[in-house]
Amino acid sequence: VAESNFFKDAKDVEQALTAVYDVIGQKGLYRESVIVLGSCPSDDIDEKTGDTGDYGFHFKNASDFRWFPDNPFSRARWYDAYKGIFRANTFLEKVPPVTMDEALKKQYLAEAKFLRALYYWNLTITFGDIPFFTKVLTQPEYADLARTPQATVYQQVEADLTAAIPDLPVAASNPVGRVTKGAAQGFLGRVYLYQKKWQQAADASQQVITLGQYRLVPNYIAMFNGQADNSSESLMDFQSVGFAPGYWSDASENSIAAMWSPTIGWANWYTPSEESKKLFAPGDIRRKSVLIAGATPADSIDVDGTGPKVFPSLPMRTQYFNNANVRKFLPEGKIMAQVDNFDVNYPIIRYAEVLLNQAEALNELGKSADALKPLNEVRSRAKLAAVTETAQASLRTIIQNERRVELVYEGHRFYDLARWGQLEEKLSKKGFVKGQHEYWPVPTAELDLMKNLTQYPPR
Amino acid sequence: LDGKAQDLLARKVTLRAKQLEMKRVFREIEQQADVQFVYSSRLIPSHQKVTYEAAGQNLEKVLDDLLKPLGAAYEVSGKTIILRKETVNGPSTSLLSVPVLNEAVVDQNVSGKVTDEKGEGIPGVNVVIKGTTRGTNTDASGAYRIVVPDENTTLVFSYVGYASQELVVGGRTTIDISLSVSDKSLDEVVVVGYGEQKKSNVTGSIVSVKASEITKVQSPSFDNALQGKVPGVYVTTNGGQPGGGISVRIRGVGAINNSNPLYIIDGVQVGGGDSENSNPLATINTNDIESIDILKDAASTAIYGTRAANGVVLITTKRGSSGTPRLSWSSYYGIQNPTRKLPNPLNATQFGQNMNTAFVAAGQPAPFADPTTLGVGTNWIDEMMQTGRIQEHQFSIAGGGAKNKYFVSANYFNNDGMMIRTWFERMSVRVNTDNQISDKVKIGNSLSVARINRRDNGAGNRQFIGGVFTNIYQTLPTMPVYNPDGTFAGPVDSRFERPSNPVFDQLRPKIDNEEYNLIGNLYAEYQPIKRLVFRTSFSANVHNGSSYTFNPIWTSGLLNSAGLSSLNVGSSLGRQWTWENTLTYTQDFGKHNVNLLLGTTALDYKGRSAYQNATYDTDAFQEITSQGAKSLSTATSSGEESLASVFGRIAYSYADRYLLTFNLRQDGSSKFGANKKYGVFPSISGGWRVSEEGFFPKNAVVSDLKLRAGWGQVGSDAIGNFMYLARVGSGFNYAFGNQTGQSSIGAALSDLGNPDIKWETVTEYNIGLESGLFNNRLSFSAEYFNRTRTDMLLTLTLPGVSGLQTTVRNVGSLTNKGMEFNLGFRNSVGALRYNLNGNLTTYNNKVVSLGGSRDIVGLTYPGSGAITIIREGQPLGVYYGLISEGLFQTPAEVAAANALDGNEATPYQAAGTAPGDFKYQDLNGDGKIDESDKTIIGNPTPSFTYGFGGDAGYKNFDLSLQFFGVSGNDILNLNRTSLESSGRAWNKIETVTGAWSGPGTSNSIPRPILSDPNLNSRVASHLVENGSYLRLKNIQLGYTISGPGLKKLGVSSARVYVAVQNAFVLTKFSGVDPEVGLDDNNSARAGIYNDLYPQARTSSLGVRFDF
Repeated sequence: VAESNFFKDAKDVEQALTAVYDVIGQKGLYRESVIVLGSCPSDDIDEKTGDTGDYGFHFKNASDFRWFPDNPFSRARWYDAYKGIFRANTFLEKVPPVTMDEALKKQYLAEAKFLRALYYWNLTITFGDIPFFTKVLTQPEYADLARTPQATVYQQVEADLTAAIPDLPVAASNPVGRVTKGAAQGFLGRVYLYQKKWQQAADASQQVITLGQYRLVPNYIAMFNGQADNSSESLMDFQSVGFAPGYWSDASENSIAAMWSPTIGWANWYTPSEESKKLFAPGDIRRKSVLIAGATPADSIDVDGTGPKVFPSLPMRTQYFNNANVRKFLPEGKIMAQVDNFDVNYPIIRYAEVLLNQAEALNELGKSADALKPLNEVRSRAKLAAVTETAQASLRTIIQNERRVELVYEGHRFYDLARWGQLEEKLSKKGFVKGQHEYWPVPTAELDLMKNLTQYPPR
Repeated sequence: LDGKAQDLLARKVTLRAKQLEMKRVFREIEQQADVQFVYSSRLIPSHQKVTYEAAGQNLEKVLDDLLKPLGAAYEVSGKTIILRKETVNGPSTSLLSVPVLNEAVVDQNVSGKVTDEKGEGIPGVNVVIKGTTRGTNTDASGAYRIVVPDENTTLVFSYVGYASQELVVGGRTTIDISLSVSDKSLDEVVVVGYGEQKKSNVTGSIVSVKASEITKVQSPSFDNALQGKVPGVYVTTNGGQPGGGISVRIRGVGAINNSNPLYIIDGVQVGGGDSENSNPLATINTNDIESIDILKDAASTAIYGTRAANGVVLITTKRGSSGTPRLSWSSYYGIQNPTRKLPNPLNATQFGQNMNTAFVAAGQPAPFADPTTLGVGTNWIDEMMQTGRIQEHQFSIAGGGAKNKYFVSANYFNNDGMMIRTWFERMSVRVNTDNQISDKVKIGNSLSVARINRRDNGAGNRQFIGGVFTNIYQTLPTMPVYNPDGTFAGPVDSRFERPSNPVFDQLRPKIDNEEYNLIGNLYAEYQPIKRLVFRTSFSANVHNGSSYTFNPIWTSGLLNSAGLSSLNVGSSLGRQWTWENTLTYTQDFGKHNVNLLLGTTALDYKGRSAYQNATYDTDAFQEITSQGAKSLSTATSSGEESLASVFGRIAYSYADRYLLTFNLRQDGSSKFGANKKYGVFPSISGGWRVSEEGFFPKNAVVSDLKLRAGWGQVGSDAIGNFMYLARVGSGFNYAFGNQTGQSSIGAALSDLGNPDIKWETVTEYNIGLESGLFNNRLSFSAEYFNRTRTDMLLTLTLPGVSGLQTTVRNVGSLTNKGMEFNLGFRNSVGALRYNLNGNLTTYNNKVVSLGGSRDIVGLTYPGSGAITIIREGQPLGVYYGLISEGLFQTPAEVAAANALDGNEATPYQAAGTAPGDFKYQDLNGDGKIDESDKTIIGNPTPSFTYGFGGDAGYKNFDLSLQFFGVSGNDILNLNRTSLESSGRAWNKIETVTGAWSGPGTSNSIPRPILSDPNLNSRVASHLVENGSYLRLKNIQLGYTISGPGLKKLGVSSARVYVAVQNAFVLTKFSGVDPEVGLDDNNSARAGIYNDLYPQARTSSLGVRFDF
């Protein structure tokens, strides 16, 4: 279709917006890179089994801080996120003049702004200062771009989200999966938190709570095994669908967990660290985040729809597991030998994080007592006793640990350590070097195409 | 007199000669009636002047009028009219009344003497019965004796350097004949755009290749046979898979985009698309081809306008001629093996040792306690390769009556490749007819239908990363082909990477790929008045393909199909019609000759294809049904393009001495926007036949000399359709509502388009010299060409930040300059007759300007960024990378390098760099290695290509040889990045047994270490290899028999031959074959070697029977 015949009516607009969403499910965003870039290089994961398969090789390189420029997952983060930004920019330029229902148009434009913010945020946490623009440019203009300071990128992310919030619906009407007011507010809270803008972070999180739309899901693991997709806790999920065959191909939109499925994957691509297996206090229902061989009581999981079996047990591929396996995102109760069953949603943002964001922000503001309420709401769901500590420094440690446990293996840990200034302390044992590994190098081909772009780390 | 002669003598001739030399009268008749006179100047005084008028008279009447007063008679043989002295009892007068048919066949002895113009006998003259290969040679005195079947037999007398003559035996038992020194090669007809010209009058750069030269090569397509034959034509095969792709470049790589020439077969445009992986020309049966004419310079090709920027190849198929039907049968059968021995993979023990070293170096336990217990393991190359088989069978009949002629052929070609389960099979038939339905109207047709069934298993898709052969090499030798239970084995050890079992991959799927091609045309010619011919022709090229692959549910060690079977079914239909109309007019005004051509052409292409794939959790479905499908997807695509053109030509000559040709064409193409749709392409060329001048010394060493020069402009629209439009693509779906199979459809701009894109313009001039020496026994030609391409259509890679991949722009300019030389020599010594040929072409390819843009990235490679670039002042697509300085030998060397930037703590290359790793050159001297240390490390363009060879005949034996060579180019051997790599846990090639293992052990093959911390697999100068080679393309030895014994079997002659194709190749290149091929859509991907199906050495035995 020629562009001149497109952007004519509401149907075109809706299709163009869908294409902006499409990027969420790409390798570089919430299908794979979110975990490879956010959790592998952290103390939650330890790729130590020496698998050097085409995928595992790159998982392991990410994990061990051999951050080569063309790791397929950092590459994909770059190319996919910018693809989303291009589509969002096009959308925001082309749609305003289209004749259609004005209210719906406003909502659509707001959704596109949210998505642009989401993609820029993912880029800047990965690459730091990045080429930045908010409209469709020409080929020479792209080629001339240089790195823009991260602060400018954050400004635009905040501006997009702030502008989007009033025009977004409170609850997603059909279809599920679209951006809502709550998602934007919650995400804005995270963006403020990352910048240590504590008051705004607390306020944005409070706005989500005030909406009254969200509550924690009692059965924690159900959010991660396909039984509670788009749950009451979800502000926004990547809508993962089974799309067999070819879980190695970029065309599929199933969840990354097919890679560590006990029946068809190779778990050592994504091995829980010894440390992370011991994170859970007795009685913490989040212990189900990880499968541990020989655990007491025994971990069991239903890998073929015939009922739970003790882990590891046949037909699981025990020989590939280091006695442990990430359980999040495995489709329990389904035949895991079929890749199209890996249609488990991935949370882009969920309510538990909003509560933890608020708790952290309030504690940093010195309102430690107020921080306990959201913190204990999260602990209570985990079946843990309420915290009463109000000394700011001690509570900070408690909140940080709670955040680690609650969000474990979900791609948050590296960035949390980064903003807490703990990368060197926690990760130098894995190979982290200060000044070298805060961000990823950009794809090498970009350096040849963009004369003003510099490589990271700057040496 | 046969029907053909009657037909010929019935042709109409108009003459108005006033004191005109006989020679010129004959020439006029030759042109009008399309005949050729053969006579001795002693018999017919050619300078004698006559006055004679004829208006639309039969040729027969005109000849009688002209010859009778001279006391001369004539005979007709084919298109040749032989003049001789009238004898009282000679056949000349009675010829016309002798009943031709139904005479008893009686063998008849003929003898005589062949003399030269001085009356001296010529030894070694070939005397052959026309239409057969039966014949004899004259003895030392020039005498011969031959048995002929009947008095209708035509004898052909030929001898290098002399004009061949044909004579009908008639009732004679003695035939003496005088041969005149030939300028026959100059009188050959050359096919030019929309017409024919005498070779001597051609002013452009055109090379003609005859049928006999192309059928010597055992190949499904004719382009293979052109390799090394023609100066300025560079033919390179893209791997040896059956029916595999071949790239042809005329006068060098002219463009960044598609650089394929335009192929026209009997007026129908064929091929055109991507010939990189599978050859569209393989649908054309080589045996049906009469001649190939290659138009090289813009002066010749301008008449094809926008499609001619890379030269034009005109293919003419065989047609019938009057006379008894001539049947022939030919067959060959051959076996194929790789031309060069394939490199050995590591055996299991060597693999174990290599892996142990690599694991231990990375701080991990050695995987094998004692690698020697592994033995040799599986050699996957041996398992995957077999002796290929090739065979072809051709049957043809040609004949016709006075007015209706036909050529019919049937052909079967089959090649089972050297890799198991790869094949190419073709069946084709052809019917060509010509029908003179009245004095003024002639109609005819060409039609070819071919069916092709092929499988190349993607081996033809020369992967830039990975690929079939790479996988074979990487497969672990510790893995058997079969499990003990007889099932196919697969990778089981997760410590290593998991290349699949290639034998299983090859044998598992059920594949049926079939295509049908119909190429045909219908023409009509109308001659309303003399000298004016109107021709209209309608052509069609229809392609229909269907593909089917069924892959059952499988498990092979760690690998499996996730419990699903898959089906891929596709079909495609493409059709193109062309309607062409031409008007030609020829007129002589005294010594001035004018030939005018005016024409129009319209072309329309439309194609549609549909592909479906589905998966099932059962093997029960072997056709696609939606019921029970675990997934089902369908994609259809379509394409359309059209072209409308007008063109014209004026060819003028004065006294056959001064020649001038002017062409003009205007094209409109659907590929460009409204403002840029039309282009005009002019050309002018001239020639001077110096040897026709009065001052030119007669009987000198130089017998013929022509100088010519030409200038022209042509265009190229070799880009995809609709590139001028910003386009929206769909399929960017998102599953709102989280329902499988219910994704919402997303659509986004996939390309910004460029409304201002326009033709590439190619401006070319060339200057040439053609000469014949020693009575044309030695021919020599030399030519200089200079081709500049401006406004190049370039597919630019966009930065990833644009969110898009590529865009098309008109950028900068490129020149191709060079010299072409061609040398031929014909001679005979006693009964040995031979000819030798050689040619050489030099190339100088340079990107003159990129219009201010900086380097354009041609190709990128993971971990290395750009590996080829396009840079101003450099040849197209030069290799780009770091310069390797050998390996670090000691820790002190590593430390010294780390300290170069003044701080030993910051690594020179990488944190893990250690002895045994590559050291790269710090070009900018900043004490560290990064992008800015990359430079140009090689050039894929040859400095020259050459070919040489020859034919010889001795008695019944014949021998031919053809060599082809390329010199001065580099090959970038990417294969070594994966098969000699440090870091990968897969199998490698034997050379890694020489990997670095301590100071001084190696300076070229890095240490094995898992994960390769130094990135030794980076593309750097050590991967650039000398790509020069010399190939013995073809050698053939034949023996011809004929005689009464065969005659009784109905066979007039039989030839048996043995041939070896690709007998050997001399090269320093370390890979499978130095002929690594080209990328048809990206000239900045030339000379890249990664995954290549080896070229075959084909040894064959063939026979040919003429009945």
